Amino acid sequence: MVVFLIRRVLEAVAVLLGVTLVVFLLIHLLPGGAARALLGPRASAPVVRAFEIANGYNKPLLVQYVDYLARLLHGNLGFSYHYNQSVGALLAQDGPKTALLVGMAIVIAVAVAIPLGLAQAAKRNKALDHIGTSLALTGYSLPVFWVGIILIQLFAIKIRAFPAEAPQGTTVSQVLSQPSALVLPVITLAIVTTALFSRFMRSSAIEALIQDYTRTARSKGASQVRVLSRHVLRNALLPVLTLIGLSLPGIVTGAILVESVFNYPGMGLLLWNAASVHDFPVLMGCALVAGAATVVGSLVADVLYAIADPRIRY
Amino acid sequence: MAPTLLDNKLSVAAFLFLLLVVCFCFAGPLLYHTDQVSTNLPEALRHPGATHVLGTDPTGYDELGRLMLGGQSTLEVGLSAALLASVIGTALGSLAGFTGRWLDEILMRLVDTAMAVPALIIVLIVAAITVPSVPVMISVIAGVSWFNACRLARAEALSLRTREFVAAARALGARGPYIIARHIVPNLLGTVVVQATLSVADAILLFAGLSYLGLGPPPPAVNWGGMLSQGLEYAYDGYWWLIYPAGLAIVLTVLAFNVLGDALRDAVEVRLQKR
Repeated sequence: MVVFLIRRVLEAVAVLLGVTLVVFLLIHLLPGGAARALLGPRASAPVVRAFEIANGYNKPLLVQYVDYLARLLHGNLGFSYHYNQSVGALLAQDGPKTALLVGMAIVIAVAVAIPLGLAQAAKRNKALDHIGTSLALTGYSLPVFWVGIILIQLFAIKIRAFPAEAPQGTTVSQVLSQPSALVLPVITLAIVTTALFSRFMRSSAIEALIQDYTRTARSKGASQVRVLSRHVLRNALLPVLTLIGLSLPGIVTGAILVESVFNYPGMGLLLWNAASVHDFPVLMGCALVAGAATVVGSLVADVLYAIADPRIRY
Repeated sequence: MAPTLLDNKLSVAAFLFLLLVVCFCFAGPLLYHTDQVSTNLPEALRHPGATHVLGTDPTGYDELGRLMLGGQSTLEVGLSAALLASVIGTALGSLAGFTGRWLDEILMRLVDTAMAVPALIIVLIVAAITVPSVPVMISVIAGVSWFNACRLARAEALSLRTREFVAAARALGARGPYIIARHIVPNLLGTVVVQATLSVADAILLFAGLSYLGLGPPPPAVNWGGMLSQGLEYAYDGYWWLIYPAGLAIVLTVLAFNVLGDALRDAVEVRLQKR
């Protein structure tokens, strides 16, 4: 078990290093260059050159990358050109709010999709299954931002039940102090996430239902409820956990779009504004944090899986 | 007799719908002539009616004509990106799965790493640095979409390389690349086609999302996502025809691709048919 943990953590570190490389190369290798993109096409060559020297863009690529890694290890994520603050400070402010949004959406999605997927698998090819599959396919095909627009149109404008704009505030507690404004953004993200998770759960539960242990349990006289809750659920849940971990990048993508629709002051909005003004340190910082969160998330998911399932040991 | 693809009414309907959408977008403008080049401000923001079937947008363009033109761009990007992603993913995945050893390890680490950063973030960064023309969009969306195809191709190649026909080919003197091209890839085409169909759906959604954020191809290029972001300013004032048609177009097209992909997967995965 310890060997497995060590191995898994080393793999995660390697992937994390790879993420820094990908993010670094993305900014520094694209045609046009960071300096030109930031200063605009009408900036004169000496100005571009001065900017490059001042910000270290003229050094060899490897030197720049090592410098970047060294700064990262000291916790320095860079300094924003646009906001005039350190990227770390910006992310510490906005990251938790996005985590709140994503977290709440995942909790709702899991609470709805797990029972739904299980029920669909239990009553396969019956009416409930077909309805559930249609809903899931439709939910999965909806563009997240369109769902947000429609929900605003219906619930914030026609029926004034919820505010159209997400709660504003710099800290998580400020955001939480306006719960009614949180409803629409979270529901928007949760709809697409639920559709995705219910498909995972359904196919995983179908796999579990055809296993021998299910047949044994039934032949021993267990009721359908007992079979489902005690045998199928646990075994079906494990692959779904891994899949949830792997789908985190997709959920973060959805969060970025939801934040732009509802003006939610999280990392997604920060990223979007930074992209519009070519603020590369912020872009790199966000990409790094998102990538690191995914790596850590899938590491945690794998470790939990290994703890839960004694068969998984390498 | 085992159910075939044609027995699944829904997937046939989805396929026909997609054909309809393609005809609508590409052949539509030949039948429904509208001026999409010069603006017509006196005609701006008209309600749907006799002269303009779906109304007009804030600069006077006919909305239905705009839908057709936008569809051309959206479908182009979606289909091309998915095709490119599938080709790259299948090639690399089958190479890695078949060859094994260090090539496989390196490629899988690379795929893990690249999959860790959310796709939209990578696409946003690229769109922020370069001019997001349509070829750039296709390349970058393909660049973030090839991982699933790669994983699938690798898994299939891993299982296929232990089969007898590969051993037979080797015994007859065939080398790696020949075996991959002639034996492995044709046998995993089923899975690849399924993945490609589902990739089109994802590519269209990603492109629409990016255009909605304003970082897609700049005007005068038009696509469904861009139409949504433009229409948003007016939608809350009651100009519903600026967002519902474009939004529905995206939803129905993506849904059709997903339904088709699901049906293809059911047809291709023989082992699940017995259950």
